[in-house]
Amino acid sequence: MNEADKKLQEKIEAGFSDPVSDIDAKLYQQIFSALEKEPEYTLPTSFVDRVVHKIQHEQARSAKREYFWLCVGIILLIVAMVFAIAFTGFKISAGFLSGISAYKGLFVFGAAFIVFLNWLDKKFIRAKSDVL
Amino acid sequence: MTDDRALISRTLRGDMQAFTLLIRQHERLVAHMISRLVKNDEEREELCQDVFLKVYEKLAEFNFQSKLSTWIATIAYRHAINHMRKKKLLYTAIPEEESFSAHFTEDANPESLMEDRDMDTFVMKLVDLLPTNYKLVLTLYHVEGMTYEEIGSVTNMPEGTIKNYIFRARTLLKEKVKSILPKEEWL
Repeated sequence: MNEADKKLQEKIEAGFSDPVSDIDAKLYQQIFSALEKEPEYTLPTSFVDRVVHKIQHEQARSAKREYFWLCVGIILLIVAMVFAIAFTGFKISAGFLSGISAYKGLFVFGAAFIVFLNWLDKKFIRAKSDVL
Repeated sequence: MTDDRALISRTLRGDMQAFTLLIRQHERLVAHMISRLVKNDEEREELCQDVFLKVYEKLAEFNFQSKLSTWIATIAYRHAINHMRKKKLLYTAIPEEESFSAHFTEDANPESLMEDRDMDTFVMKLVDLLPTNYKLVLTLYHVEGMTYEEIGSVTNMPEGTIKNYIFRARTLLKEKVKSILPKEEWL
C-alpha cells in the first residue's frame, strides 16, 4: 500500500488535512463522508413481532416433541417389561415378593383407589378452583 | 438504554418483553451488516430473523467477555458468510492484492456507475464491487464505529489485517473515483 495514502488517511481521520490544496485529501474526505452514511435498508416495523412469534412457535413444537418422546419411552418400557416377563418366566413369587403375593388384591385395590382419588381431584376440586 | 446484563437475565427467565427490547437495540446493527452483503430484500429479512433466533438460542452461553453488540455482530457475520457460501453468491475473500487493485481501478466502467452524480451514492456503488471482507470491515468501522479490536472479535481476523483492509479499501475507492469521474467533479 502507498505510504503517502496511508498517512493522508490517518491525517483525515485525525482531522488534520488541507482538502483545498490537496485533491487526494478532498477525494478521501468525500469517501469518508459517504462511508459514514447509514445504509438505507431498514427492517419492517413488524420484524420484532415476527421473531418473537417464531420463537414461541418453536417452543410449542419443542414441548410437543418432548411429550411425544416421553410417551414413546413409556410405551417401549412397558413393551420391554412384557417381553422380559414372557421370556424369563418371571413369577411374582420371586424373593421378597413371595411374602406380599398373598395381598395381590389389596395392592390392585390401592392402585385403583389412588387413580380414583386423582380423578375426583381433577374433576371436582381443581375444576372448581380454576373457575374461582 | 437498559443494561445488557439485566436484559439477558430477564430473557433467560422467559421474559419476551426483555428480548423484544434486546432486538430493538440491535436490529439496526444486524440490518446494516446483512444489507451490505446480501442484496435481496426477502433474504435480508429472513437472515436477520435467523440471526436473532440464534441469539435467543445461544444467549445462555454469552459470557460477557465482549460487548453484547460485538457478540451479536459475530453471529450476524457468520450467518451472512454461510448464507453466501450456501447460495453460491459472489463471496469474495481477499484476492491477490496486486492483481485485484489493478483490476478494480482499471476495469471498464459500467454505465450504471456513471449515472449517479451524487458522490455518496456513487461511492456506495463502488463499495458494492469490493470483496466481501472489505465491505464488511468498512461498515463495522465507519457506520457502527467499532474499534479494530472489536472488528477482530467479530470476524476472527487479526487487528493488523483489519487495519490493512480498511486502508486498502479506501485507497482503492479513491483511485477508482479518480479514474472514473472527470477532474472538474472531484472538487
